[in-house]
Amino acid sequence: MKLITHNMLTSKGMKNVKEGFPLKIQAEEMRNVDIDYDRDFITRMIPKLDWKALVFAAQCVGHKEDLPDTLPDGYENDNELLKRLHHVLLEVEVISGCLECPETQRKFPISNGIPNMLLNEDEV
Amino acid sequence: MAPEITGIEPSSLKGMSPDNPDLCTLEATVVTGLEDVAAEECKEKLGVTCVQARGRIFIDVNIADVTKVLLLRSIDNVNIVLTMVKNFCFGDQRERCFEQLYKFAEKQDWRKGMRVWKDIFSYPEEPIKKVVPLKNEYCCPRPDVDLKRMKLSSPILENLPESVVPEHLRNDKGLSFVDDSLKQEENSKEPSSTAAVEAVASGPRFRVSCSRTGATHKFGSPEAARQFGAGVNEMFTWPVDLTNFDLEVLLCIDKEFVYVAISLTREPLFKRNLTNFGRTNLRATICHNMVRLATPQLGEVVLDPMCGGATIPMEGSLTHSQAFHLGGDNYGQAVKRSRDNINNLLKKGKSMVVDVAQWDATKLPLRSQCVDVVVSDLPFGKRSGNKADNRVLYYRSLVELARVTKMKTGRAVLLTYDKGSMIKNIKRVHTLWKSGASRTVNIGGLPAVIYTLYRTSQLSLSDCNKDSKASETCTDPNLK
Repeated sequence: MKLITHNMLTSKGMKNVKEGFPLKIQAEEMRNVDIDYDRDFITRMIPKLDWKALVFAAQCVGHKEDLPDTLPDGYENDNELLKRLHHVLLEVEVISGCLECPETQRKFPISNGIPNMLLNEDEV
Repeated sequence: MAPEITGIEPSSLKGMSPDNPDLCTLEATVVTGLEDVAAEECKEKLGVTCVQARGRIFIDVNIADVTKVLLLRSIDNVNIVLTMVKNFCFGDQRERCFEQLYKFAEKQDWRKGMRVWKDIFSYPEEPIKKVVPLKNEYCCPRPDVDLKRMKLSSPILENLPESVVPEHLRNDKGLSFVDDSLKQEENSKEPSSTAAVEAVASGPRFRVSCSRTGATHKFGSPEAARQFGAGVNEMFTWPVDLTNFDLEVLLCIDKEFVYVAISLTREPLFKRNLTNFGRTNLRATICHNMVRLATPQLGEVVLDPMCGGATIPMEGSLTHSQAFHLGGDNYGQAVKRSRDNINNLLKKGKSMVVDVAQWDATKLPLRSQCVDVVVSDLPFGKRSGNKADNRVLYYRSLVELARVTKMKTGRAVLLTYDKGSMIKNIKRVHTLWKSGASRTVNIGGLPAVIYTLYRTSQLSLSDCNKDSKASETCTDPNLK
């Protein structure tokens, strides 16, 4: 699971959950993959991301220092930041662990790099 | 719909003309229904306008650019066309047809065709060493061998003379068992043909594959292949090998429209992404064409909510790398296969912005309005799922997809064979999804349909459908 995916995942489908976002990541095994750096892609994706949630996720997986707490103005011209963002967003992957709902603490397992978001019948 | 091949004007394809020694005409096969998408890719990447026909596109390219055509993602097989005849004028007698087909071998531009073939397959030497003029009338026919696979339903069965009707169909036709004396009589009428080249055969091992359509022919496709093949064999002394061949010559006969081509793809081009196959994998070329129809832009999110083995997100991430491709399926085995397929491509050094999750397509664990494009191959209700489930599944996922897909700019490209369930449900959610063009596509023989939908500016279903009888329509998931 990449952090770009985590930035979109919620547990809001569960009953009694108001937001269900962002999910807390408990990572056991991680890996890095090589993705071609595309500056335009990163720049265009940034407005779609929930920055706070991304920073939170980066913290969970030990990449706290890579990203500033708030998105600075003029980020389109900050090459260093864009490259670090590219790495954290696309190249860092959680292979095993779990995602935890912030409201119910329900754990969604991640195995083989795939988060299992299926709900039980009584959770719906 | 693309026109039938018989509507093509051969003179419009300049690559077949000997006046253009550095130009050639390529035929690229495409899944029927997606010919215009392939033509668009060709125009975009090669700057060339194609001629479209049912199930294929014809492209005139410089010989130096042939390898570029092999890199296109929307086509399955590529052949170089040697000649094309709009009106072959088959004779009335079988023997006359055999003669025409046998001698047709001499009318092909072999030099051009083999020049391209040699380059593509890196054949180590010049395949055409000498050319021997054809001396016989035609090759000795062997209907006992060639028509072994003929079916009772074959439209040309009526056209065959009694003595030629194959053994296994004689009973059904009310014909008596042929005794040997009759057989010998037909054989003795054949012209003496020198046994195909006693001289040492050398050069590429070849076979002729013939496909024949039409109800008035008096011969079967294997018989046509034999005649043409005999001509080729005698001209070039290349050895014939039907199974381990280097060179495959294609003879296509559609009523009176005949063309000859040389295959440039030993394996179809769609065999590129998958290593782990599921029950209903979509060809990579169809996946590409569907993603292309959705026109993903820079920085967009492309979702496949029922991705199976992730064939669509994978192909999407390889050809439209400026978007993020996300897939998911509820079936554990499928997501496992997805992961294996992706890992295998990563090992080969591919850079793919793709991810997979396990989820329920009717309850997507995604934030609202975070997706731009949806491209999916929905369960047909044949091998996967069933029609009763589809009616509910399609409705619920269309509503859920509307929640996650951006209003006004969002679009969906959905493939299914279950048109009934799809059309009914598109109507039910018309306030969320506006119906665009739909096209019929041949998926493994099934007439499936690709529906294009556009997001309206309405976020959710505001009113329950009071007229509907099914109780679940009053459950608006967005009111939770």
